[in-house]
Amino acid sequence: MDYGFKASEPGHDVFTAEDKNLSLKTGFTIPKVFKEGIASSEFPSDSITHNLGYEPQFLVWVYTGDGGIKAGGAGLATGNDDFGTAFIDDTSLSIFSINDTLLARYYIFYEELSSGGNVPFTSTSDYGLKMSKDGKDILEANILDQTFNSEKNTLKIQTDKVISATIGTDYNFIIPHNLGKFPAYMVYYEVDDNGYWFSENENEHLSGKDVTVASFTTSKLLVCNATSNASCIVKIRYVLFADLAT
Amino acid sequence: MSDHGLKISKPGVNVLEAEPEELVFSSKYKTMRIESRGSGTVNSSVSSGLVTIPHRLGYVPMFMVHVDPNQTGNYVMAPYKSTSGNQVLSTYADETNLYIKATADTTTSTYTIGDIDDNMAREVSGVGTFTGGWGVGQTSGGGIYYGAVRFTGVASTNFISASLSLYIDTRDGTGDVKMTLWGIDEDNTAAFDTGTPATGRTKTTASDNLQSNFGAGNIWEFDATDQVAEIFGRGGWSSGNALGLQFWDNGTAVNNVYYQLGSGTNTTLEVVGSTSTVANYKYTIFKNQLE
Repeated sequence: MDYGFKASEPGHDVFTAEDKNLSLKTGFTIPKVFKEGIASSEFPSDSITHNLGYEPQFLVWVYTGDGGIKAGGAGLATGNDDFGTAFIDDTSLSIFSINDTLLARYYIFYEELSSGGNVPFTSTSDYGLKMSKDGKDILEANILDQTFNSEKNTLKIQTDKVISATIGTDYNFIIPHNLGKFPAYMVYYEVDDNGYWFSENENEHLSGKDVTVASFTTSKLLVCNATSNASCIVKIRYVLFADLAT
Repeated sequence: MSDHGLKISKPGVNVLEAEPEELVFSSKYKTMRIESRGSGTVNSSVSSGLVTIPHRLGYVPMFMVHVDPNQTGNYVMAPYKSTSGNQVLSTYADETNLYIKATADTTTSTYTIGDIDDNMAREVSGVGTFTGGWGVGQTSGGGIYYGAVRFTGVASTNFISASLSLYIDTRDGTGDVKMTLWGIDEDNTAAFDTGTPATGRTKTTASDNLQSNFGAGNIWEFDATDQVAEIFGRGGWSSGNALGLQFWDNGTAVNNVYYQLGSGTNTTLEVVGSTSTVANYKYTIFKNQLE
């Protein structure tokens, strides 16, 4: 249909771009940030109340005293990771760290972990830009029935690239970003072009190479460390957000 | 930034001066766009523990999966490692599906000697049987040692493997010690200071010939899976019963004996079992492409 709104990603013609190359389009749902901030310095534990009444999507990044960032989403949140754990229920996000020298940046989204949820939200202003989902009256739609609302932050992808290398048993992908700040990020990887992509900190079990990728970022670099039990090709997809991890 | 496109700043922030992290949206940056979401339960004992979720995008999408490994309503982001350190929940995607994989976890139980007269025994050829310690090998005078150890309260649910560690408190000689390991083929072997002496009790069919050369103060650890499995497989065995292992000299040269007498410290039986992993999951598939 030739109505609605769409904006293409840089380098893509908005008239011919596929959906995967559109930043914004009527009908897309973009996760909207409900609450973001720095978890209390009173680690080893902190609890951030959200009271949404359902389990919302979340991402957590932990940063160490030397400025290194440990991805929380796929790194921190395993039960026995190097830095601790983070989990969410229908009232709060809980973050546990192994020691009190760590801080954490969290993003809690309106969007539920799975479809559903019914959170009434009344816009506090009569200006800005908002779009409702198909079939929803924009003047009455609650936040979960809005695909976009300029009152609410979204995670913005600054860099989104793929790199690869043939590795031995231990290899560091050094990726300069030189942002002068610590970006939120996500990392995925594939082994030997086998078509299966894992998020970082997974122990990849399909190639027979027992590969694990774990990463951290500084104010200048993203470092992805890949370990394996045999030489293999590792392809990394890294996503750096304009949003911060500190 | 060049002077075209669309950008929206956060409330209270001048859009013309905003840093990237102060923007709500900018056409300069890509966004995370949700393709689909859903939820379910994954069980390592069902369908090989694999849940397959078609996405039909024709390319590998970015994804996020959160799991509730204990089904308590607390969701963590996958992957998930159990308290045993095993990765029991994994997620990955290809150009057709998102996959959520549950793997059975392992639990390791370590059993110690307890009362040394109940649980340690030896026989010395031509001399007699004794409790309160074990020995294996051949003395300088040609005396042959046979030993046995017993462990109580041994759990056998979902058994995978077992290993026995013998602490060599003292020894004669410096050469190899050779022995054959059997289990005591009984449902719930009695304390060694009662009834038939330990080394006279029925042996399992399963046996292993072993040898080592350790100095005093070391632990000799070896696999005992077959022997323990045979005991667990007895019709009269119940999880929580007492289990015994006996080890006979198997041709050790004269003047080489391992001993542990008067204490059962550091002699242990380790039993590994498996437990099913059952977890709730919630997933988000994005339109954003990985490959």
